[in-house]
Amino acid sequence: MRFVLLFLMGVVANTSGYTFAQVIDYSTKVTLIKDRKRVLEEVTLQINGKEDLWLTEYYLPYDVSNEPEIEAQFLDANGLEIKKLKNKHFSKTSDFSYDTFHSDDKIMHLDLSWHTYPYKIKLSISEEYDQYLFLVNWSPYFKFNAPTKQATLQIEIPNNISIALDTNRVDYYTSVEMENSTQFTWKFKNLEKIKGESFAPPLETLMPYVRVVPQSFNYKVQGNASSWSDFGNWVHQLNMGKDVLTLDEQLKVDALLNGVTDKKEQVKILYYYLQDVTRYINVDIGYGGLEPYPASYVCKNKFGDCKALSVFMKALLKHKGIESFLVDIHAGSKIKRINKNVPSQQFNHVILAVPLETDTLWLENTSSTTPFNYLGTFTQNRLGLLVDGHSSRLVKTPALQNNEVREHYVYEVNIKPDHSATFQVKAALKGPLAMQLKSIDANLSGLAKKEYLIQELNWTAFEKTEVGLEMPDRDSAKVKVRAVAKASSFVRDLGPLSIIKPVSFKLDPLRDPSERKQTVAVYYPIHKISEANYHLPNLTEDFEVKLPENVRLEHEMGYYEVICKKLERSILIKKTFQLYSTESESMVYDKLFSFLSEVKQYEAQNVIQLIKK
Amino acid sequence: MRKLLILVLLLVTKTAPLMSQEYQKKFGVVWKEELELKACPIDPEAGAMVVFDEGISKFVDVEDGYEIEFSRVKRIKIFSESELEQAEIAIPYYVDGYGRTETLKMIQAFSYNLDGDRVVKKGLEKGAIFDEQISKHWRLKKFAIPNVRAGSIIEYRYVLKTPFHYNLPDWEFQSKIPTIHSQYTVATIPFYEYSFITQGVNDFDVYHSELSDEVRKFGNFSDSRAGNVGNGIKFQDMVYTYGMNNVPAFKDETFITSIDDYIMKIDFQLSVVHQLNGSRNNIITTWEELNKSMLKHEDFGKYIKSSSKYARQLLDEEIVLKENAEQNYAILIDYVKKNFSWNGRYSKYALQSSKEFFKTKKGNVAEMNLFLLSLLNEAGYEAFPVILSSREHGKIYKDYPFVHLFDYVVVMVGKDRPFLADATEPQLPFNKIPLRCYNDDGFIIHKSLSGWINIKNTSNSINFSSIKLTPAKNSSKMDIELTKIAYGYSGYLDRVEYKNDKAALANGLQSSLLRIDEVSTTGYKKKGGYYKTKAIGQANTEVYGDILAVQPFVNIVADKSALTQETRKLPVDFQYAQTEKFLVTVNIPAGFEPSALLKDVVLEDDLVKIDLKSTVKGSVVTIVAEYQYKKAVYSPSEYPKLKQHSDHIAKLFNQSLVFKKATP
Repeated sequence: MRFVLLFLMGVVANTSGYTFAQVIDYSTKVTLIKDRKRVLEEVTLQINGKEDLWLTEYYLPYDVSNEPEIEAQFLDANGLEIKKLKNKHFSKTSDFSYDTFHSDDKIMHLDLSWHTYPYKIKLSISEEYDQYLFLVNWSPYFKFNAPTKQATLQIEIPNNISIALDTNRVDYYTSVEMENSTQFTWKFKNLEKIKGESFAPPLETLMPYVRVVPQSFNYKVQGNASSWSDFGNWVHQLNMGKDVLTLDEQLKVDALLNGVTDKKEQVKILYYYLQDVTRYINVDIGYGGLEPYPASYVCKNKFGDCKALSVFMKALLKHKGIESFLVDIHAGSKIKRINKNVPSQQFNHVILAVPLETDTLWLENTSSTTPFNYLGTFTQNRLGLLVDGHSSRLVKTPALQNNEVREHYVYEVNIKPDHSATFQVKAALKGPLAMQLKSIDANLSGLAKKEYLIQELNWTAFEKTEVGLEMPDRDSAKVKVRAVAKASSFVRDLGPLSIIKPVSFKLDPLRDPSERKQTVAVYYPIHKISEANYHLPNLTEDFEVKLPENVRLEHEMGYYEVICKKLERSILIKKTFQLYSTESESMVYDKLFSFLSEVKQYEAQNVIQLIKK
Repeated sequence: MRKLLILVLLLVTKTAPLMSQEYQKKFGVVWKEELELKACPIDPEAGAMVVFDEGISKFVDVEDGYEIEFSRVKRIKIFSESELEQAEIAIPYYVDGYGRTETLKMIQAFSYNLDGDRVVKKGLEKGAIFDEQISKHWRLKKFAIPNVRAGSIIEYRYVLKTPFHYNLPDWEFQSKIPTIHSQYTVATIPFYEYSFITQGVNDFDVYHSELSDEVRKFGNFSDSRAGNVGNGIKFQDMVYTYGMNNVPAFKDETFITSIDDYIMKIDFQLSVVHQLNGSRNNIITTWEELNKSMLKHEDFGKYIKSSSKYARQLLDEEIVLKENAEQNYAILIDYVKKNFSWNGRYSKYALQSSKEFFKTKKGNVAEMNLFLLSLLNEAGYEAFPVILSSREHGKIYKDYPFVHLFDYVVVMVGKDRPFLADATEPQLPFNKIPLRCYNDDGFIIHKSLSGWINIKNTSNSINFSSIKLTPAKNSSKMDIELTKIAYGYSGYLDRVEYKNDKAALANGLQSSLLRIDEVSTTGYKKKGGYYKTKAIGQANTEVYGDILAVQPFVNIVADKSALTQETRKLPVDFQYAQTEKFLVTVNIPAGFEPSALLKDVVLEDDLVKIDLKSTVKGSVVTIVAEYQYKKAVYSPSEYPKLKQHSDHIAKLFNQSLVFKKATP
């Protein structure tokens, strides 16, 4: 069940002398009538010209059994009504999303365009819910990339209902005691649009929000959110009885583990079995967003979403008496803050934790290429809810360490008299790039695979590149890459000088500190080493060689080091780049910018100079 | 290669020997050896292959006539995980909203896997077929075949029934994975005659036509000793079979119009309906007939007529015209662009009434452009509709008068010096049509002047960059003033991308400028003219001891050609001819003197023009340069030379100017 508006992505034009479209007023009222929740959203949009029409396209997903009531009133520049649209005027289709094979939800397309400018739209969306996990899950942004002049949330809560409040970037609210209820009001004014930035927290952490969580709720089954153990117990109830294998599957497990006694080895065999025979397909029907399909569904179909596949994995383990726990988590390479003080549905993914005597195994069950007991940037170093009945609790997943993200490249570069060069590259990679390459290897073939690999490895400047991947060990998070390539003008002539630009690291462009709005977050370390040996056949005989300067830039955010050596017939350059993981509430962007700018400057300027004797 | 063949009641049989390996073709049965197969025999790198794909279309009796019944059975062998999505099936079907609908029945799907020596077969669970609505008239049946992994064989079959006799299903012999065998059988009845187009097929491996053994009846008819009684007839189906073996995967190439223009396929179009009384109703036989039918069409010719009163109303009440026709063309076309909005949909037919369109001021391509046509006509100007096929919709072939090959309509304005107009893109000048419309030819719909016009894009879009560089003498930085003036489609595309948005523009300049101090645009609202962007900032130079190197074209031209393939089978379609011109001035820093200037280059042939000349005058180096891709579309035979030129351009326009410290 969803009550969030989705929007067509649009670009906000910063037109000089032109007043932008904006959300003039966004007001949300939530009332409870018996156990039903009624949400009334009223929005006023100002549209000033054709450039603003991106703001007039809305896609509203809804539960087909609970169609929202929509009314859109169009007002001209004088405030006079132009027309009014209701549900029947809007087209409805199935709700298609990129990661869901099928959903029984529908989506309503609201086309709110008009042809005479300026005009206003007063949009009203009324929805009712009989089951819900939040009384309110609200942000003052009706659309985060449009400025908002004013936003108000008002909720009237009967005094007999206990609630917990989870707010972000919200300073205050007002409350009015009424006879049997309390009315809470939050007001916001003049909110700027929000834009994503690199090395920054996720947008949802940057946006103000108000969440009101009922301590007692009924969503499929009765639940309580007074504590994480209570909330986890509700999740547990949703999963109850679903971790049972079919007889066929039980026999299969018995056969797979025949003679294997080591618990970790048993888990590994079953994990690889899961990876080999299942695939990720999400069929979202009914409570599908939260309630998993039973293991028997995966036994039959050999597919499922993260919940179903995790429950299936749990059932495989359970059949051999191995205890494991589902862990609800918020996945994403940018780590979303989980409010520990407000137990509630703050997650979007499920993994599995398998406790051993001295350790815990962590299993990502939706990927056929993730190594055993490996959590990548998608799920590492964050809080998750371990689901264990009344003993449910928040746990933290292990953080990726430096040695788990290291990329080590070795280049042998043979420079030819015609200034071209051939490259032989060996790379040993770990971390997100290695996982990405594994995924490309599994999911693409032919030319597309080759092109993606070259793109990911930042070898687009090379020509005639042939790349091969080696996965030395299925357990290993390491990927070995071997490549051969050419560059036809590797040596550049600059008047009397010839220069060779050493192979460089790929560093994302950063905006000037004066434009930066957000704090800095580097959620996992970055560690790259490259050793390149440049062979020139007549090096000492023909050239006077000037090597790049050795350098070591030590910085609060990381370090960068270059060591150059002239060997008998070659030049060896070893570079190391390290960025530490950090999440800072204060603005340390200037420091990050200055470090990366220095590195870029060095990478751009320091070359091997060859002066012909 | 395309051919037009009219299905006639002739008996032709031609069967090419099967070159492909023999596979089990019985639905529900697979051989163990097929499951053990590790790679596609005709493409070892393929992640999957179509073992067979067979379709049969035939006319079946229903209460009020006939329906077309299309049965399809398809089997795919999956070799790698990369092709697991082959097991996620979506079959579209059409619902007209007036009680007539296509139906999909008898859907069955299985996967096969080896478990030791045992073949494990798994079918769809009950309730595993989902129905989805994708638009007002289109639905999807969707299912995911269970138990699929690398090594699996999957197969599915279904029957689609359609009451729409126009919709005799087409057939694609080729897809993005290789196909061992693809075959389509069409059983026609004497009442409907179809024309067909084949594309990409030189010769079918299987092609035969034969009379069906079954004798069918239509109408009141019975045999008696006294002879045939009643007003019906007896007939036999004419059965045509087309097959292809060992069809390679279609591999995407860059710079093409649409995969639909090149994939091996056969398309059908209803051409004649025969009546029992012997008369024939020609659906489409000639372009003339097609022209007439469009003029009479409710949503085309009649739409134009009905919209004229609203056009008149605007001319009477709102639009002020001038004396000059050229000016008035611009006034009228820009009026529609400004006051009406395109809803993003292509169509050659209006879907709403002209009254509704006039009220909402928003509509599809046909509603916008046919209304524009009425406005021009009402203002007293000659204007005709021109139907065409947009680039993504595929090519038009003049031999085939098939209306479904068109998906777009523009307006030809004026009689003496006619030009094409389109009201859907406000950012284009009034006398330019969007790039999506350039797809060879269009057909003028007119009671007396109908015929073909060529809609090739012959205009040359020009970018002119003025680059002023002032390198510092004591650091590796230079001040840069970059002004780019874009004309024609280049200007249009820049307008659409950057609008008047400084942040977007700054983003687009990141590869040229290290730091941007000032950025501005001119001409954003002047659709007919140029679009100018100006940026002031800093860029890097290279300083090595006494040497100072400057990249005079500041990374505007990519240092590698976009044409990366060694050979090319399909034309290279750039959409428009383009010229890049540069005027670069570099202020030589005090104490430096030129060491290596760029070599002058003059090269011109029928494909490109390259001209680069640098001079030094006082303390300023001036470079005047341009390169020109002369054609919008290059043939595959021109590719090797084009690639060579393109590589050369990438190198030339990424050279460095070198200065060295002057000896005192």
